[in-house]
Amino acid sequence: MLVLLSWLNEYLDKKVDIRDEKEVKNLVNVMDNLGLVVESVEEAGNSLEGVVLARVDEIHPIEKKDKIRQVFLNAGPGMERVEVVCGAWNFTAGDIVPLATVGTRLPGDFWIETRRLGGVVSNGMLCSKRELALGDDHLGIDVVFSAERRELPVGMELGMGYGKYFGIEKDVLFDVAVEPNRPDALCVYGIARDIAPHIGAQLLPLPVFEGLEESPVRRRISVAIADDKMCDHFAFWAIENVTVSPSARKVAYRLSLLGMRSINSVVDATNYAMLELGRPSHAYDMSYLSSARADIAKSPAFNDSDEVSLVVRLARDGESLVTLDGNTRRFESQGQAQDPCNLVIAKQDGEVLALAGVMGGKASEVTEATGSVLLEIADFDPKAVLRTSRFHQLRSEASLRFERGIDPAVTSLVAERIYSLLRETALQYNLALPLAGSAGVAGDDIHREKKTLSVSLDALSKILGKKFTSAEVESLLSPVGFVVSPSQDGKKLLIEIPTFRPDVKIEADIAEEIARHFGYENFGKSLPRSKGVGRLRPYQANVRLAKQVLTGLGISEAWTNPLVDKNSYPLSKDRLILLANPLTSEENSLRTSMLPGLVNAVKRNVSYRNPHLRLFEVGRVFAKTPPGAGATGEAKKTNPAKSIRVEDYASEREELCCILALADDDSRQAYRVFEVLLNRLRIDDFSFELSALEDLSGDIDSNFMHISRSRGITLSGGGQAGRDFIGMVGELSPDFLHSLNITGRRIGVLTVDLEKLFSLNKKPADSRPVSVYPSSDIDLCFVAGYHVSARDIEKVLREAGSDYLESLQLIDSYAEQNGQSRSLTFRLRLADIGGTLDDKQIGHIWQECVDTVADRLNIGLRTA
Amino acid sequence: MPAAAGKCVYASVKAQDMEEKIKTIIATLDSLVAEGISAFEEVGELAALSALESLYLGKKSVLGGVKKEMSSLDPEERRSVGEKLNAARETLEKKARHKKELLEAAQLKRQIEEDICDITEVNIAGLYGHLHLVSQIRQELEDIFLGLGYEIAEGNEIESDWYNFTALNVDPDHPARTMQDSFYLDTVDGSSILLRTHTSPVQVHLLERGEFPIYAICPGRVYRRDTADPRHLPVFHQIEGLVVDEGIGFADLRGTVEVSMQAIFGSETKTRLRPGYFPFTEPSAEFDITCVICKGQGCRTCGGQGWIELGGCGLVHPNVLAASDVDTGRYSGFAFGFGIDRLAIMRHNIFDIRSLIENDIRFLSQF
Repeated sequence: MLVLLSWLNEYLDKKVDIRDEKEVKNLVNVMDNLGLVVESVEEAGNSLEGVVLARVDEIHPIEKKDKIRQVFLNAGPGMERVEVVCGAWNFTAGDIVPLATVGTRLPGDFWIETRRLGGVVSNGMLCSKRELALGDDHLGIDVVFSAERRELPVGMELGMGYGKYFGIEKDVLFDVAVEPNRPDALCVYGIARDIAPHIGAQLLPLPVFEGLEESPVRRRISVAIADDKMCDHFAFWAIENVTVSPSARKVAYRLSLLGMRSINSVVDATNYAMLELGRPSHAYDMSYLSSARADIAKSPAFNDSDEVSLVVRLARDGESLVTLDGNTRRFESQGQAQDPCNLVIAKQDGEVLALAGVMGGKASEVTEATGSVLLEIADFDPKAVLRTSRFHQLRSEASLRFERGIDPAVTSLVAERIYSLLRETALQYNLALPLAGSAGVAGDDIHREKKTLSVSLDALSKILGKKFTSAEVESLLSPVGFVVSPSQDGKKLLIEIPTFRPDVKIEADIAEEIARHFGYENFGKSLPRSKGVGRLRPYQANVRLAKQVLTGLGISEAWTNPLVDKNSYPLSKDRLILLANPLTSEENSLRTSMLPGLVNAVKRNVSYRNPHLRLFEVGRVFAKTPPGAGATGEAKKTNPAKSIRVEDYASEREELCCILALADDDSRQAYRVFEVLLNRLRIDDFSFELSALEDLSGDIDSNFMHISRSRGITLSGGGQAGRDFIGMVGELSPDFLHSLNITGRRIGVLTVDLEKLFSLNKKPADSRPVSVYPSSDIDLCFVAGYHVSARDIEKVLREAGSDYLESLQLIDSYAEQNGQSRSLTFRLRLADIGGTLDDKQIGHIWQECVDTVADRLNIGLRTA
Repeated sequence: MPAAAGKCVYASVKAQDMEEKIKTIIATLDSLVAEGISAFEEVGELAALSALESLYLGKKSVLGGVKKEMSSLDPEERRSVGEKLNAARETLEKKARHKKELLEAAQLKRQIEEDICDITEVNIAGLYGHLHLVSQIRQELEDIFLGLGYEIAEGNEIESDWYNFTALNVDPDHPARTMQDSFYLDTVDGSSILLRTHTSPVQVHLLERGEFPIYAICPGRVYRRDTADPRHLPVFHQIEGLVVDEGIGFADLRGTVEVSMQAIFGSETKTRLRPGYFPFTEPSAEFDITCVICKGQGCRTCGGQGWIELGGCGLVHPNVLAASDVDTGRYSGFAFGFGIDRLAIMRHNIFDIRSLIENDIRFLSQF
């Protein structure tokens, strides 16, 4: 919210000096510490130094010029005859006008100098309102006082500063971020109330704005509220004899500094009162409201036969309204929306006039032709306004305030304020005074009973960790409108909540209020410690270890976007979870694998000439729960909102995905990474099986994998193949690579479900002693077709070699000529804990190994 | 090679003049020693040294000849000549040994000098990988709180409306609950299932667990419907802390925030709590730290304020505790949270937060 310091000062008995940087800085600090965060501070406006009030004494034509005239003015002592050339014609001799004297700097950095125009000297400039930055009016000079009125108003003197006379001064503009729980701070008076005790000032009481004449309203006006939940009260006033004009200069000036367009005296008055007191209101052109035909020429003449009958109700399907911004708002069926919205004000006979609390209608807009006004000051339901504003994607200063909650207590005050502004304007422009009176209130009485909270001092000190006495609480809260009265035993406080703080409902809210005014920074600090031991859960420790191992293998961690494009998703799409409201079409679903993201990352690096790299990611992958697979009929909890179970719709799990794209990376490198990982995680190498991908096609998404060079990883001994699928190891298929424009290389892939990986059998915790006796190596060279893997042979050899096998290494693989098989040479290092193995024993082990392999795998040693 | 060395032959010496003969032998030995010493002295290579050794000290050398002559001498003379002979041999051997050591040392030195290598001719590309910056900072944060005895709680990224909003006292009409701000899943029956907008649902699960006290942090990935730009990503990371224990109050919150921020940013870092608003805490606060760039002096990063807004915190709202059936008469708590990615871009002066998700190895390998 934008706030002017000069306006705040109006409500403080001790003013903050606008020109004193230190005082302004201190105020910013005070506001920050109160949670009214000042997002920017800037100097604003112009005190119009050098622009003086001058009387037009003579006006002469200039030879050969028909658009400009020579004007002589009296600008007070020492400047009794100033000659100026002027192109405006809206003034006559005797008028008082603003004269920008030579040396003046007007808004927009426009310097006034002595000039010659049409051969005549001009020592200054007469100004329009636009030139003085007081609005859009540029039709003529701002005639301050008309010659017709002969005597100068009290306090006005020739030569007097224009700014000084009208209260236009250089200002400081704060942009204050007001939190949603502080509706009271959405107005000047509310902010002044909050800051006063912190700058040693007293908040001045709200002035009585005089003049709202309780003149009997002769017009018959009635307002009905269709649903009292939607509108607590609707107070209305009739203002007759209105001459709509530009606003009083100070009002226009302030509105323009606050970035609000000055529209006319009536609309500006409602806006000004809202900024000052926080209460939105709306002015209708009365003549449009009457049940008589709307197209009758609007007339300022009073006609008490006109009857106005309005209703506050929900809009009906098919109705529409052109709002003040010129847009047509259609009220359509809200389909599934359970909460009603589109609260409107309509004529009793049907026509919709305004979006309640959001924006008025164009047809009933107050214009220069308006002669009488219906002023509405209502208390609409915050949620109804919120939904209406959301439905039309239309937020206004009014809707913002209604959403947060308005102060019902200021209803009459706001009406009085608006009326006083209208009177002030009329006086400033010498117009007839408007007549106004209350025309009624629909709904509840505007004076609502105040709520009180009983708060125990003990509870407060428990929450805040500091003891406060009732006197301390009172000294902190009473300046900001709370009435604090201690109970007889002094242990409890009865706190009356001011009507402008609808957010304060419970003890904790009072605690915050006390803390805010005591100062958050004035509390002590202590460090509570858990009595438990802080440690990673085994799963978390394993993830960290896995990441450490992977980085040790030259694989860098990536973070790819879990939001993917279903249209270009390279994997199977049937398990993709779609978003109901994606931000862009490229991010409309949730990934089922991290692989596409990592492949894109590789592609990106390839395009920046870094084609050789290895990446991994640990992250969530998601899948849609097939219909019927979710809910298993668990008794629903009492709370229906709580009973919606995510797993009925979606599942997610944490996976590791590696992509290996160094120059000589391939499926074997991927398997190597997997083996190293298992080893470091102390997982038994043979607690899983490698299966052909075809066997698993139902369970995994493998259409981008190279079928002959990739394997699915499944848990050992788990019934049907594929049921316990935990990952894949291999490389990307050539056609997939081709579709990515990656050619002439292989890219290794490893994906594993981490939870399942960590659940694999661990190696025994007990250590194995190492032999101190000499060891012997034997090499075994088997010939095997590709249906038997080196891993299969290794598994059998480990079993056959049992305790004598100190280590086992595949030292050579040689493809046979036939292309169907290869020779695999394993080097077995044999040793015994108890002594040196002799040739006989070694021969025995050798035989055992060869026989078991032949027996289990049906392969033999290479013969020639 | 000395001329005398090979030519001294004693075969012609006759026994008739033994005394003369002995004198001759002794003179010969003397000159041989002198000659040998200078020969050993001059020799420059190990191969030549070994040839000299056999010439002067071998079986066929002059000394060897003298030894053979010994048998023809009287025992008396034999002894004196013998002593002389042994002395000469020892002198020469010692000299040869010494020279050998010198030459060997020189040779080793030469070999080492020639065995030259520029140790910097290496390529480390691909030898090691890098943990993602966000992971690194997350681990750092986790370790700080592990040190304070906290547990690390994680949860799912897809949550129901209850856990993400309702149980956290977020009003049904709160803007965060609109399709505008949060990503909802396209569910068959229109149920409100969404990508969590903060890690706070994990707090609700912790409260529901019903085991107290709770000292936990909840790091993780969250989603918000923000268009990606240099300061925002629709997917980012948060860390939240939750403490629920008996007698937890505002001072505990202040102390914990300060200690953890100092652990992350350095002990000179100051923290400041300002009133704020969150539906799930009351009282609520925003917390600032002194600017990491200017240390509070005021600079461009902090907009001249000296402070940087880092996160939000507060005492857990009684409604939140009540929603998960926590005994509010007995337990109270505080919570705090902030963005890990934001911390990363701040601490490392990263211009564009999108660098974190582009996975360009040139960026990843900087950390």
